[in-house]
Formats: sequence, C-alpha cells, structure tokens
Amino acid sequence: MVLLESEQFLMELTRLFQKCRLSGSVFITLKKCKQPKGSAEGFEPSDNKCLLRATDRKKISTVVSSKEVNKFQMAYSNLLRANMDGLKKRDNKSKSKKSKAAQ
Amino acid sequence: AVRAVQWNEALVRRGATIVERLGLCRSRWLRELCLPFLFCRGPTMPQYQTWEEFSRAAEKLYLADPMKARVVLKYRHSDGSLCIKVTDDLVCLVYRTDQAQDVKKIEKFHSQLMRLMVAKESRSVAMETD
Repeated sequence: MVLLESEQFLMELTRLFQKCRLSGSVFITLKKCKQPKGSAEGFEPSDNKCLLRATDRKKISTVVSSKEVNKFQMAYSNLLRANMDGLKKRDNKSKSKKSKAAQ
Repeated sequence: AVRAVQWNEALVRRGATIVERLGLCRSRWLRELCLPFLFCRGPTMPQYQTWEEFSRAAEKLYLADPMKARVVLKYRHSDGSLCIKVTDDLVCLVYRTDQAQDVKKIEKFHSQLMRLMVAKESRSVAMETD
C-alpha cells in the first residue's frame, strides 16, 4: 500500500482510471481515521483526517486533513466526473422533449 | 431463531431500518437472541432502488458511528456501471447504477462525506437535506 501526497495521489488515480478503461474495476474507499503513526505531531490531537484509498490491484492511498480538503476536493471531484463518463446517458428526457416540441 | 429470521426478513422487505427493527423488538429475549439476525441484511444485501432512500440511509449510518463507517466506490468502465456501498461492517447499504446522471449525485455525496469526516467536531458540516 503506497501512501502518497494528495497531488501525487490524484495523478496516480487518473492513471488508474485510464488503465482500467477497457477492462477491470477501480475501487475507491473513503474512511475517517485518526492520526497516522508516522507523523510526529504530538500537540495536535487531530481526529479530523480521512483516508482515501484507491486500487486496481495496485494500491495507492492518501490522507486528507481539514487544511487540504478544499483544494483537494475540487480537484478530486473534477477527476471523478471526468473519468466516470462511461455510463448511459439519459435518453428518455431528450426523446420526450423532442416529442413535446413536435406537438 | 427461525421465527426471528423470518420476522427480520419481513421487516427488511418492508424497508425497515436497523434502528426501527431494534425499536420494534419489544421482547427482551427476542432482542438478545436475535441481535445477530437483526443485523443481518435479510435475504440479500439491501440494494436501494432510489438514490434518495440510499443517501438518507447512508448518511444515518455514517452519523451513527463515523469512525466505523466506510464508503466504497466501484467503477467499471467496461460495463458502464458504478456502485456505491456504505457499510460499518454490520450493515451494508448498496446503490448500483449505470446512468450518467447518477455520477454527479454519487460524487457529490462522496465529497460531502469527505467533508464530514474532516470537519472538526465543534462545527460539523451539515449534509444537504432533501
């Protein structure tokens, strides 16, 4: 499990999505977590971080804290929307609009 | 025990939440004996048909115990399917879709949960209410 910085995580996540376009699944897990053991912050009893993991057999992860969340979230949202574009578009609305216009 | 499982399955079919099931369980022996059955998901993992129901139930599940709950997204481009699951390892709520219009909803929900997780206790960000 590779723990990355937020920006690098986003880049790797993009790559994961691109790799899986023809076959395979991308799993993304989001979970609230406490301070990871590696960091040396003793005075900050931070309970406000979340762990984001992504995998397609190769695992990557990142920890997001309240300081980074704003910037990260915008980039992350755009990434998801841009990459999850393989789903069916809604045809019903356009058809009913056309029929209404015809009438 | 058989009666408990049947009762639980009937409630699951009716769409009762875990909290409702626990509340309806008046008899003490039923509660103690059936606690594991109450938490089992009925005949199948409850898959929600509408986004509104799923998001409400998922939000409740997360707020019940933020540290335990996790959100899993599974995207398959080859199948054109997206699945979101919220679970606390006892209860598992699933919503599947193949519609592009749901991507935005799911992604917004995901971001809202991320904000909730990261928010400090004193000022918790309120989720959008329907």
